[in-house]
Amino acid sequence: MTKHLQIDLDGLSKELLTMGAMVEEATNRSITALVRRDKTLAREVIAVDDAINDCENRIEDHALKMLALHQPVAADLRFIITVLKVNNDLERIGDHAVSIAERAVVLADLEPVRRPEDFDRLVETVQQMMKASLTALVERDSALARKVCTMDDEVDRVHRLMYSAMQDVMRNDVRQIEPAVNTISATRHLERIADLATNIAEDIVFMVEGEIVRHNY
Amino acid sequence: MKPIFRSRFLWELYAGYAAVIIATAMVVGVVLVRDAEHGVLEHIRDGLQRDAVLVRDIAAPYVALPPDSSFEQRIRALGARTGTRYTVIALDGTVLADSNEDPKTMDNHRDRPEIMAAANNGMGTSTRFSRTVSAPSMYLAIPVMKDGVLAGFVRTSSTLEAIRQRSDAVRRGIALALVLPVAAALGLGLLVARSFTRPLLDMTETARAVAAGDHARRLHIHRGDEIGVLADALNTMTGQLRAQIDTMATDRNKTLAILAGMVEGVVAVDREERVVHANAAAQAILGIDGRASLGRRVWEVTRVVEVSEALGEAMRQNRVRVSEVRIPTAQKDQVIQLTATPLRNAGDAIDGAVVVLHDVSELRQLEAVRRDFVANISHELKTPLTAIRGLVETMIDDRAMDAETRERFIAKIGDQSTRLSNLVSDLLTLSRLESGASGLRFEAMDLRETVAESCRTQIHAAETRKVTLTPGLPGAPVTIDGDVEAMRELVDNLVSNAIKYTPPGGRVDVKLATENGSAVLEVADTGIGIPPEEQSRVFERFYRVDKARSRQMGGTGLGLSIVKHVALAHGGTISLKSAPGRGSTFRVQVGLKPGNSSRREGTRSE
Repeated sequence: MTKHLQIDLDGLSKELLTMGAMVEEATNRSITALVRRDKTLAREVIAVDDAINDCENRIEDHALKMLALHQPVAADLRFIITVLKVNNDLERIGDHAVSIAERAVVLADLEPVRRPEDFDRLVETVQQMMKASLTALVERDSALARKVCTMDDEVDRVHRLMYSAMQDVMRNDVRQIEPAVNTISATRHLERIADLATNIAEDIVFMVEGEIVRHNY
Repeated sequence: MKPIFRSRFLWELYAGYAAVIIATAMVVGVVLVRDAEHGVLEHIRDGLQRDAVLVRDIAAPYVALPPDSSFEQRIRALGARTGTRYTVIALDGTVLADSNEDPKTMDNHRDRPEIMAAANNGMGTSTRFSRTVSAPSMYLAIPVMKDGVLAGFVRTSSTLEAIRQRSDAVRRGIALALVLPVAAALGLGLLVARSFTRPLLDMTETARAVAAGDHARRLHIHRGDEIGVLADALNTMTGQLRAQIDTMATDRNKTLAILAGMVEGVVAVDREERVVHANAAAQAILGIDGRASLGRRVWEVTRVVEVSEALGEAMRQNRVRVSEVRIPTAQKDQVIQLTATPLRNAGDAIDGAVVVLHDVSELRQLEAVRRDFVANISHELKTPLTAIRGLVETMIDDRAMDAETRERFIAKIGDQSTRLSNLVSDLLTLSRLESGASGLRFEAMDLRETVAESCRTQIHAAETRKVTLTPGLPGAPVTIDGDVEAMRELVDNLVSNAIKYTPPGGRVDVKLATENGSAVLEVADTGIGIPPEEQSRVFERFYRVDKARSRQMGGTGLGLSIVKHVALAHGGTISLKSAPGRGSTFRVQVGLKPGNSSRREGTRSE
């Protein structure tokens, strides 16, 4: 019984980490597509979303089956609950990656817009948060997860800056309105990805320490 | 207790031996003691019988008479002297006299077993507990005859206390005589058993130590018997084991060294997909920490999903699986080819898998460049050809063409064929350069002369474009080991490029100098400049920053490519500094010919 549970837990962990890797890759690719104005890469990101959605359904199905079959307690229960929540968050991140990729397709055909230097910081921080939250999940490292939560403030700050920067761009040049609007949209999706990465990190703290830290950061 | 005495083998070996010795001693002892006791009894009976016969003679006159106290006194005195008890009994069983008791208080003795036997057989003995003396006693009775008629009995008796004392003495003697040899035999046995057990214990200990990893351990047992042979065999085995382990360790180190030296990444996993090895290249490609990843599931270690997929599938489907994964980064795409192979154990069962990661980014990039080159060259050749064909066909069709137009057409055809010819000659130069040094003729040459000549020939073109061309040459010859033709091509290309891309009123500075044993040629212009993202690509064949402009200038798109190849073929380097709108500076550095005069002068001039 316990052995079967352990095998199932391992399998679930593998599926979730695989999905995490897929979502991280999709996020990174969508960002690269945006920066490099690469339509082909952006379309690849959009195409892989179906696989991510399938993955989400499969993980949810397995997790529910395990709850019904093994009726786990304590750490095992927390783990499965966390898997369900992280699974959901990952799927949402995948959707945002698709949205960014869609913006990238549009932006590739438009005049390049002058992005503030802070944009690079935003992109970098979001990628770091994504990577760190998944690493925290793999390592069950609550200290790293807590660090991810604090990184979100930086993202929020840069996100606010981007609005004013884009407003300036639009004021100065009417032709830049369309690319600027699309850039703001992409930035918003990046900010949402950072929020969801923070959610994942909070769920990891809950899984490891059993303490609910949501809304504390 | 010493370990040897805890040995079970010792006690198993010794217990049987000791039991046999002790049993033998006991049997011998018992037999001897019984024999001796029998002798003692016999002896005492003989004594009793002798006494009885003597007492009978004394008692004979009195047996038929009533009890007589003087007779009784006499018997009593006799008994006191000999220590033997005497009893005289009348025919009817009445006790007439007793050496130890008052006869009046004694029972009738007619029914005593020894008396009855004496009456019937002439003598009777009996051994029983005597209430009279309160001790086990031996009785012997004989009949007293008076005138041939049975008249009474004489009985002698002795307590067995005396008998016991005698036999105890005999037993002690026998025991003493047995204990010494038995002890000696037991001691000797222990020594023999120990001599078998001790080497056995040593072997056990050594075998355990060897198993625990102490392969230097050897047995020091030198005996000619089977135990010695066994010890030698054990030593040989340990030696071979050590040699084999050493071989394995060497093999393992070799394998690790090979893996570490490989450019390709190698990741091996066990059946449960736990990482058992990841070489340095794999760690670099996947960005993982080799030590931390050992023993962990591969999907926890790397986020590149294809790696765990390839390994898992190779194991499940039991076949080699080749796939490719593209990892796009901000700068360029990384393309990794994955070859996953299942691993089998000694029993041919699948025991894991290994994946080889081959970074084919450069290969793919080269393929792309080659593809582009073929596409570009076709395009470049086709453009002037199409123009020529169009012009010629028009001239053929339009017979009535006026002379002026015809002249213009012919001039255009001339231009296009010159362009074609330039293109082909540039391609030939490139291919000559690409085939390596074999296509070049190296000799001592003065670079200063080449640069001066190039500037002379192009000063006209510069003047036409209203560009100031200023050659800055050193006072002494700059001798390098080079191909005159190729170097001229290099300088011409750089100078003409600089003139072409500099707007009227600008300047082109050509500077030749020597620096740290190298000739350094710098061509600086105040032209349109090259954007930073294009700078790494301007040396590619057919790469043009501004396509329309380049063709308009009559460029083939191969100039800078030729420059780069010439510099490289001469073991030199080329670098570019440029900012859009502010101009570009190309810097070529080629080693001076060693040991010539210009080097000394060059050094002095610095």
